[in-house]
Amino acid sequence: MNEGSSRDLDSLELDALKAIESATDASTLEQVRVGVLGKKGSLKGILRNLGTLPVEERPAFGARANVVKQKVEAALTDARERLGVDSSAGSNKKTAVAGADVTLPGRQVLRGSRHPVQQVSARMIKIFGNLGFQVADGPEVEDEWHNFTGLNIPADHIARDPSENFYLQDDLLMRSQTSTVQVRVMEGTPPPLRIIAPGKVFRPDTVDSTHSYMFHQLEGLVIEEGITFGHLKATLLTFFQQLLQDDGMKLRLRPSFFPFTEPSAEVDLYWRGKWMEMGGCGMVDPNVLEAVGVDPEKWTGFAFGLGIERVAMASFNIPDIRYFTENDVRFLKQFS
Amino acid sequence: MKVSLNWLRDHVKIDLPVQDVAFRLTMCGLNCEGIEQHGDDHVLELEVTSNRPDHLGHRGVARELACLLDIPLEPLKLDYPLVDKDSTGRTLDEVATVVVDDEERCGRYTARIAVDLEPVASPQWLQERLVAIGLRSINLIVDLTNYVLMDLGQPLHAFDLDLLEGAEIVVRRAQRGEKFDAIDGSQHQLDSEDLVIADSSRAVALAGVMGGSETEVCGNTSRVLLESAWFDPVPVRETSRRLQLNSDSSHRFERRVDVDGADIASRRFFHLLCKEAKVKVLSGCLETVRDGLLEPGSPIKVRPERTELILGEKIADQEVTRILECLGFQQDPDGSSPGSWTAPSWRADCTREIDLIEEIGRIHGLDQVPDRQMEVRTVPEDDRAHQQERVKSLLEGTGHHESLTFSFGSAGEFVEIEDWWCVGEPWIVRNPVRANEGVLRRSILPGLLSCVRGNRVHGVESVRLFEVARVFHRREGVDRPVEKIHLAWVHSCAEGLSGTEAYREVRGVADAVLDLLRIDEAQANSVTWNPVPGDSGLIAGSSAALHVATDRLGIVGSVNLDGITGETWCGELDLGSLIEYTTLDQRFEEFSRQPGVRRDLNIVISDDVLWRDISTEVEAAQLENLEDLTFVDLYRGKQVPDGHKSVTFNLTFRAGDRSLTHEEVDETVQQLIERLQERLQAQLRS
Repeated sequence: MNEGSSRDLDSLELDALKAIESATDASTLEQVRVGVLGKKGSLKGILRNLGTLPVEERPAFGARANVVKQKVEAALTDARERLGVDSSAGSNKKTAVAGADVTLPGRQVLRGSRHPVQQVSARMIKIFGNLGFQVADGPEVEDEWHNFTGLNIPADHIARDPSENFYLQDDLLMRSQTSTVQVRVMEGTPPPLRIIAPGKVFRPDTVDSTHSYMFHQLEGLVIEEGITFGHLKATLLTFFQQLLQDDGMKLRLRPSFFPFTEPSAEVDLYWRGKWMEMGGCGMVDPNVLEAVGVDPEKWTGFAFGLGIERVAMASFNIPDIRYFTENDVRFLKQFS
Repeated sequence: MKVSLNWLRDHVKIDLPVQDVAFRLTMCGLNCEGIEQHGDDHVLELEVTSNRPDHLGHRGVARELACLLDIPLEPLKLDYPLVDKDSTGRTLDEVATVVVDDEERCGRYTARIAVDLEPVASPQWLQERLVAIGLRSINLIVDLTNYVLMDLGQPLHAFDLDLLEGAEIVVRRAQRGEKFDAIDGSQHQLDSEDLVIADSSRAVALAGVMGGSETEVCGNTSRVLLESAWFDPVPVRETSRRLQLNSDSSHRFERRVDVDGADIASRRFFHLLCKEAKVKVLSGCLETVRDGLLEPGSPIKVRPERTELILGEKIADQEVTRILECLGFQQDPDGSSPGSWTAPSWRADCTREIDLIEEIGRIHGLDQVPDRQMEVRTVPEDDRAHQQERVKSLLEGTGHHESLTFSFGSAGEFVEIEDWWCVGEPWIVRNPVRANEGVLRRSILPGLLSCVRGNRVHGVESVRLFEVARVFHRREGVDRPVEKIHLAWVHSCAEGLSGTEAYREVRGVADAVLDLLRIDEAQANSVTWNPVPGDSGLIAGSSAALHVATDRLGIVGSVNLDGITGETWCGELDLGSLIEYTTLDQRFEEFSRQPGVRRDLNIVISDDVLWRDISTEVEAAQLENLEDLTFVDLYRGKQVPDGHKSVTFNLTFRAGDRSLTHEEVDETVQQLIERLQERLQAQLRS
């Protein structure tokens, strides 16, 4: 340790503390503060010579200087208190702005929003994620095999009619259901499987308050050993309970018909005083499993498709599906 | 399908309030969409799924109730008195003939004949039944055909035998261009794919779809030929669709009616006719049946353990037996296959074990199956989705509202943008819902820009929108659309948005996305922005394209929105491709804790020197301890000579191990100034 410098610090400390102790008014105190801690003060002066010390001594010296600084600051604070001096006076702190009106509103911060359909979709993905479902993806333009044949929809089935679909050319159409992803996943991955596939689907329906020709579905598929209709029921119930967080909601599975599931059922949700159809579900038809080379004797499973717009309309109380694609900022910003 | 409760009670003695009936039917697959009161009767509107044509008649619905409530289905009365010959002494075969030319399409044809019919009005009960379910009473014969149709689901057609030329029925293909006048007054030109019922000279009915006006029965018809047939579903549907001629008859035939039903319905008709009118029915039936059509299906084995595995609940054997028998299935009819069942003729949808398991579950109550939780599983995070989510959050945080536009587009207003930046012709949609949506979109911008216009027209002064969605491109050698994920954003404002600052704002979004995805790092400085030409659909001079390596992956710039004040700026990135460049490997990098020294420079430079030229020079100068170069401002005006601009930027210097002295920084900056003077003819300003 360089004796001279260290001694400098010691005497600086002693002198400063004495001066503070004997000060009797705010301006004296301020003079001491500037003289010791200010830009051209004595402490800064000593520190400026730090560079002349051997490198290995610098850290210890710096630490000692810091201790001195803290001691002087603490003494200043005590003295201010003793003298009843406002600590902000004389320092570089700002005084109150003249004529300030603190009842003024804050300046508007730029804030966008997420589309309600995407918000609901994200929540659904999250809940199903917690239930062990992984997100899968497939193309929006499909061939007839994945949209129909692989889903046990026979060649002469009415669902294949050109007027019921958006065909681009023979054997190429906009997918009319997200069930296509079931087939794609099963083709590529052997069971066990637990997936969801959210996405757009397309059907040339006449547009009204509840129908559009492009909407979103969330498809679910489970293929595991020993999966039963009871598992399907429990899974959907858990999902809707978590989604709506409302003990007043009820769910019922009403028998129906879909070519790719058997038994099949409609998913009816009772919420806020009315029954609503949320989608379809059922046990995966053995033909669908066989078509992708999965043994239906060993593996069973269930599938469901839920309408995301329907869930969004119910959750946000939106009366007309057309709001979703109008993109009026006055609509969108309500969901920020 | 409208179903009368009183009518159902003819078949099954239900003693339940109508709401309970509706609920039970709903929960077995016949969704009740409404109940109407008609005097002492109730009419239920039932939604019948396409696999259950047997539910398109009251008896089929009644059978379901009988099974649900475990009460018997009343037997159907089919008997009636017969005469061997008509008043001229001719037997059935001598009165008329039936020839079926096309057994593929007409699997079964039956014709029975009644003569000496004395005119009589439709009885009150019959009229009431029909009116209750929304049909009009016409005359006794027509009313009875409609009644049997709605009772048993089997369409019937009655011809006035005296109007059938040659007293013959020929079931044949129509000739191309053959004319047909339907009962509903419509006229049609037929095709050789259409199946018709003809007499010796003309088509008198469109098979399975509608009868002809020239041979229809009327109030004083005395001789009736009743057709009860089975037509192949697909051709009926095709004819009905092509001619846009839908009827209660085609609705059922195209869903496949009961092959055994043709004969039963015919006999039911005559049973009722004989009760209500004075008439003689000739004994016998003119009939043709395709070989094998009436044979029952193969026995179907139902394993109790499989039933339990699918439903998740053990159903008692005797309950399984009760349900299937009630629905008309026969257990092991010839004793050769125990535990096996044969489906009734009206259940062509049941051919496999799973079909019968569904029947058991449906009647037992799918909704009653106990809940069973699946075992817990965890899911790995999807990296691409995660990156997309971060980008969307960024756009939201910068004031943009997420939008949802249609995947369809048009060759309309903004087609130039798509043509320029999305390579290849668009994919054409054969049957668009809207005339201006005839192609799949290649870019999100046209759709988003028209939403901007909509908002601005509605008086929203400042509009910021974004969307992440798929677009559809064409790639050589790929015979289906290449689906890409794009991000597009727009900012349109009535005032205060213009010039360099506006460009920098939309560009700032792109830069932030690239930064967020760490594209520059990943691509080692191969990211460049280049001016776009005038045919890009964007305004040249204020628009640019992003290149990463040699791929064009984005555009930003301004567009003209006709009729909209202020300026509209936009950008679009091929987000899917950019995400592919992202590295997820994120590591801490040590940073210097030494103080930095900043120097502001203001230079005057020729207008045709770009910022990129300046930044390239700075980089090439390899200035010692240079940490950062930041653009501050660009100015043209009074103090700057014509053809020049003033550019302000700052440089931050910092060493890793010590404080820099002002002198050494000044020296370095001087080097740079000299270099810029020499190579870019830049002049230091002030």
